[in-house]
Amino acid sequence: MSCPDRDELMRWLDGELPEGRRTELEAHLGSCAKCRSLIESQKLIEKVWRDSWQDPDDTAFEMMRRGILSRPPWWKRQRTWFAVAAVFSVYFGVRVFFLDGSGTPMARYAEEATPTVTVTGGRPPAEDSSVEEAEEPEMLLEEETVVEQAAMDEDSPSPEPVEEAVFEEEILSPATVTFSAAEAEGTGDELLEVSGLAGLTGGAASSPDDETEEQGYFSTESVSSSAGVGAADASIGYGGGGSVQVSRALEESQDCLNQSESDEIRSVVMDCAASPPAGPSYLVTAVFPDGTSDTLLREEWIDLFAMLDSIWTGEDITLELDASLTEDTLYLRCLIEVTGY
Amino acid sequence: MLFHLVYLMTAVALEEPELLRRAVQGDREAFGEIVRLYEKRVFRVARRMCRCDDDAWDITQDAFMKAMNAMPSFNTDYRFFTWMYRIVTNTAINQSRSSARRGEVEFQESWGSEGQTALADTTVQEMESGLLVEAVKKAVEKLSPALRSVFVLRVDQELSYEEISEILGIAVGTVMSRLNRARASVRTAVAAELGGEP
Repeated sequence: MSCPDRDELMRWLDGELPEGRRTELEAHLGSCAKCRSLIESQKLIEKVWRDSWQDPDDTAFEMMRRGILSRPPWWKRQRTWFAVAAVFSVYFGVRVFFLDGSGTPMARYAEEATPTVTVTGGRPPAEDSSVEEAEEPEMLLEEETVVEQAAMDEDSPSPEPVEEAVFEEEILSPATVTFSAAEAEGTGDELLEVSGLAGLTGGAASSPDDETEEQGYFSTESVSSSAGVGAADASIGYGGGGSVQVSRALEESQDCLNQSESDEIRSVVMDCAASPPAGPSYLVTAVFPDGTSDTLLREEWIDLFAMLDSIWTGEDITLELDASLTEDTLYLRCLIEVTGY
Repeated sequence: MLFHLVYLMTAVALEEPELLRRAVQGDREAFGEIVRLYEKRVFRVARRMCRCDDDAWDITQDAFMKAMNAMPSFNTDYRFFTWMYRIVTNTAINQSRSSARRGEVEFQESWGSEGQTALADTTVQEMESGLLVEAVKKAVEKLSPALRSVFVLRVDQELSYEEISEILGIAVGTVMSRLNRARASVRTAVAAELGGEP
């Protein structure tokens, strides 16, 4: 008998060879030193690698388990994301008119009425991920790999979508944020309407709510969203009444930021501070797939923007927030563009 | 000792369906028990699939979070460990690809006729030393995620081709071809690292 090919030897090693062929091959191994040597060295390589494993300390697992079980359910975190987005949009609007209301870059930006916040809804199609993988030569082993991986991802309960593919989906037209200045910074009780700033309240479109929210920096008497947000609501079953839900979700968000998430945000901010953008635009991505770090406290966003504001004082700053939904994750991306830098 | 082990395994086998049933209904405590049963295996797969402990902890936690979120839709007729393996390998593969996209990782694979022959005797002798462990670790790290996942599930977890096929959602033939390529690549890399013939 001539030497079997290596594939067959490995199948024998794995105990995956059919009975008849196994007997033949074992007979050959008894007389062929070369094949025996291949098998023995392969066994040794795999054994030393397998045996090199050492489990970490039990306390590490205990900590991880506690971390997992202490997380709020996904539907609660998802609502919180929307709340964060809502706060960001409204807060920024408030800063434009009340905190930087006299000739600052932000005010100039507001006068241009450029859409600041876009809200994306819908889910990234699986094809996007596979296409993107196919475009990366270093990842592409062979055609079947891509197809199989796409199928595998579809079957996965919650595969991590490819970040870049997410935000091109269903860009909704800018909405209108209307809010009252009654209790904000003591500037009076006139009602302002900011066109071009998209507000996300999570409520039914164009249904102002009478509830008044006290958020520290500002107060909103009515926050309404007029474009497209209703569609996003429908896709995740997040319906109901406008700012009431936002308010409740905000309260829930207060204890949702863990240390690593907090640190991650701070590191983004500190990076910005340490290395101001070299060009006219700078991208800060805050994408937190579900289960890793997914909730930002309102204060974190406020700190971030306040700090950016202070870093780039005198510059024209535009901020853009994209939100995108997958089945169990809301992704946020913040684009900070500094013009005239 | 053996009796104790058998008793423990039997208890786990009997206990698991009930835990799964409760976890599917949203019982966090039951899910916590499931995590406890599988955490070491899941972490081991994650660690074998990535380059450092920190990434492995992230992947493990992420995988369990995904499982917890998807638990209400889990069909208890299926095997949990297969499902969990699928989640953790997918999570690890995605993490590896993200790292590669950021340029943190470079995969190097080579396979071919050189992998068909046995390692030379000099290399075999070196296998006794710790050098070999490090060489194999490095070689496995250089495998692409697709090959590494098959290699880890077969060589480290000692799963059958059929189980790997189910977990990764690929044909058994593909499992075999990837495994062969992975093994050949590892052998070549180990030989190169230790200065011997492949």
